[in-house]
Amino acid sequence: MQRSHSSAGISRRTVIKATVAGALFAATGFGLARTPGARADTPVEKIFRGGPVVTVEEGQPLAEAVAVGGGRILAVGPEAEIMALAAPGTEIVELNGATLLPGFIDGHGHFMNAPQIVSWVNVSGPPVGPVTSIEDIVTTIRAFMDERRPAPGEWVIGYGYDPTVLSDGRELTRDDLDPHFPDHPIMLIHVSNHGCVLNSAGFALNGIDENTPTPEGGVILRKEGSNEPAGLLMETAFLPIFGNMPKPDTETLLGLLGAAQEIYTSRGVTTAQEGATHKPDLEFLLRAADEGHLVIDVVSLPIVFDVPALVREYAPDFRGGTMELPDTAAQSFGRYRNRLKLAGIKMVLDGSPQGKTAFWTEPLLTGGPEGEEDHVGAPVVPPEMVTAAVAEFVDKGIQVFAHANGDAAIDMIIDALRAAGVTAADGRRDVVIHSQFVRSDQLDAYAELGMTPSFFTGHTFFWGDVHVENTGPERAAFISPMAAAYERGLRCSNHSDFSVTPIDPFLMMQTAILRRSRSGVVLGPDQRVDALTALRSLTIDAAWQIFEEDTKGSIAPGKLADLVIVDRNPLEIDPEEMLELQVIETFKEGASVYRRSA
Amino acid sequence: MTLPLTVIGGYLGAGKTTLLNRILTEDHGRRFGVIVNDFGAVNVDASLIANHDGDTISLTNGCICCSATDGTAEAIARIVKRSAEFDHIIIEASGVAEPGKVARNAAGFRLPLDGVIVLADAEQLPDQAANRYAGRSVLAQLRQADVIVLNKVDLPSPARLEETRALIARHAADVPVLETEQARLPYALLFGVGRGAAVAAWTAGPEAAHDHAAEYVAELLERGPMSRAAFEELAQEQMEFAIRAKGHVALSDAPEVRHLYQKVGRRWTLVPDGGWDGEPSRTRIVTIRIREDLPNHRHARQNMWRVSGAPFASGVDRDRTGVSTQSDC
Repeated sequence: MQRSHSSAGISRRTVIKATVAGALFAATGFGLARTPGARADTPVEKIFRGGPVVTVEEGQPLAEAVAVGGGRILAVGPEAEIMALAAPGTEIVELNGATLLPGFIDGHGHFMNAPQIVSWVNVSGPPVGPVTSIEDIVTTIRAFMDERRPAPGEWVIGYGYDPTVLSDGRELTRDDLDPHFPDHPIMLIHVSNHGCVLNSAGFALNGIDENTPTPEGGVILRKEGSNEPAGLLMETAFLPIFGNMPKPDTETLLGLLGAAQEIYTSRGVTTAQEGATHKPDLEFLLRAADEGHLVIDVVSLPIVFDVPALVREYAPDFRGGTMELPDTAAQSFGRYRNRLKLAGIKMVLDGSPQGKTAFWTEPLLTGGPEGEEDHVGAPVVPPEMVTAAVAEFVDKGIQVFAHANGDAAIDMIIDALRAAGVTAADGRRDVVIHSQFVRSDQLDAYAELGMTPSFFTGHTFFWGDVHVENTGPERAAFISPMAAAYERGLRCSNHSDFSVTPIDPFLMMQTAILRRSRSGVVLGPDQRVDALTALRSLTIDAAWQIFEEDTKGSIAPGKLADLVIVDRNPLEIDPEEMLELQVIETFKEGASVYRRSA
Repeated sequence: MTLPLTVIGGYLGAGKTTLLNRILTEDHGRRFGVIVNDFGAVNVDASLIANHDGDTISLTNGCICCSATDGTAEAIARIVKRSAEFDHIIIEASGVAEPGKVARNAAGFRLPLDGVIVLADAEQLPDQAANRYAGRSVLAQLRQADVIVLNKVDLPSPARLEETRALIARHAADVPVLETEQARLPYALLFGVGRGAAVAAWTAGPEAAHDHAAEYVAELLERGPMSRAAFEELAQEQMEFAIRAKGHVALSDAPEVRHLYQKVGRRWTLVPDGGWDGEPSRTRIVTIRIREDLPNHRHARQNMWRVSGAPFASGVDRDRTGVSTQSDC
């Protein structure tokens, strides 16, 4: 099978003029072919046997063994047949009862958060992190510092601070941190990403003290009976700290890419998404790719706001309006070079439902973030801009990835695609990232226009109780309605929105299967799916969504040997035990890229 | 050193970019740090660009323009770090953003809010306000304005213009409205008189007589120490129609404390601002209002004025022009 990521079927305009002179990103050489497909005489390098092979193929869902060579899957079948292909030098990988699965595909997340997060300490509560008390926070930071040995005065940054998981029943304060960490400024970012706790060294560096007034719309928690800041800063009081946060330089970030990718490979993910790529991040990724730092595939979605700047940079001679693209722009999309691919353009249409900044047609039951009545949220961009940009991307044959959580935002993208004349026959596969509060009639429109949802079923667990309260049980029951989407023949992906929630395919599977909140409420029992469907949304259907179903997403001859060995079969185990699943080894194109330490 | 902050909001087509392009290129003598959503819209003649470095364009008139694509907080932090180089900071709110929220988010940086200016398209506003997706945002922008600039008033029919005015009056009744074309307005109306926080300098003394070319009148109001209630009454009476007012106030119950009074549109603040540093403890406030003796300046509706921005258009905005003294004590 030909290894091809060409944009076949990506739009009505599959044939694009090849006058490349001003092609967007042409200077980067995107569009070069990668390694050719395996030929019949490719030597068998590895054979996997001795455990269930979950192929996720329609015709042959289970197999006994797999032969791999030249980075590809050569054969799948009964153990005897496959073993017959073995030659001298063929490595036999014994599964010993463990399960072989196709490598997972990240339906939507933010890869560029990974190099940052690996240099931070995780102070989240379960299941994301180890913390259930203030003492745990201190112990966790201590262990992190013992390992990393930051120089005195160097920032120590933690993420996932959440007072609601602390058995102490109160906020962490600077007094809890100061005795243990007097020499390092410490910033623990609140789980909402809207605030942080600082120790005294952190306050000093930011020039915040008892004379600092609390800004409107902000919180500076004070010590009891005093004006001295206690530790926690939120919202507008946090913004200047956030704006001044130390940023690692490019060389540092490149050095962190190995650890960053292990976040993915240690969970069996072999294709990551950088799902809102700003221009500097794209430049970083191009360099990382060309210098050979990427061991897994990275799918990048340049963010629409930076498209004018990208056009100015890469097509300086192009003359057009603000959101216009050169005719050759699509050549920059849809193909890998050195493990980096641009898949389409990311648009952001609304905010987040838990932050009440998504855009709904019906008001929330609990008012706005500041108690506003009749609150429906708001779009992030004017509808006229959405319509114009979508028309241009459709015309130029570029796939659209639209972030839309609320149903009004989803209406905006449906309207824009319809206005651009798109139908399912165009095969564009425009993705509505999140699609969380999609209505039933909107799923019909998805089918009509060939759109596809990338759901976020983890919300049922992490924020399910909040959604019931804010939107009422009926709307909350239809959040990320995977069953309804599959019933209409839609193919869906499921995602973690890393680093909003952790990269954990088994957590994603579990939440798609159980749809159970932290408090135990099941949101929409009829929208629960079986384990195979949950798995498809992380493998073959996620591959289809980015036009890679011919090379990824299932274990079939000719496909890339992106594989993961898991200690137990996720299709067989009790979903309650799903978070206990362990990744034993991960392979990218036949090469081991992660192995669990003994 | 803190920089006064102006947020410029308004929906698509209202003229934000036209206004920003003027600010970045004209010879107005003020150094603005401007944060925009995208450089693409900024269309500045290359000869006026002193330097272009990644996220920042430096202009020959002393202004800089930063792109906020990687976050407004980061862009503000960059400008605040160089605050000695600027007199004023401007943030362009995106087409659907609520400029009041943008201003409030900036409050964390302890930048005193100079004003929220919302531009509106005289022809399109009624349609935009009725838009299914954007309508609520458009109306919220009008409500959050300290001053509304109703732009492109030369385009609509008289009936349409009246429809637009009625809509503004319905949703933002107390907000002063300046009507203009091509976003032409005197700087003194947009950003107040004088540079930065140097209040004392521009309330220093009586000035030349009216400049009849100016469309606004700047007047100096002087009083001795007075009670807070008396001051509030004075503010109500003397400054009701002032688009802006700014100055120091002496309160009789705390004569040693200098208070800073600032008014833009319907919003005013009175905050302690240090001591008098040997100056006499007196109230000195400069008010700026539209001249009413010019034809067509005052409309039937209260709070709506037509300005042509002639001083602005000439490229020179004489800050101190037309300051007269009104002193009765």
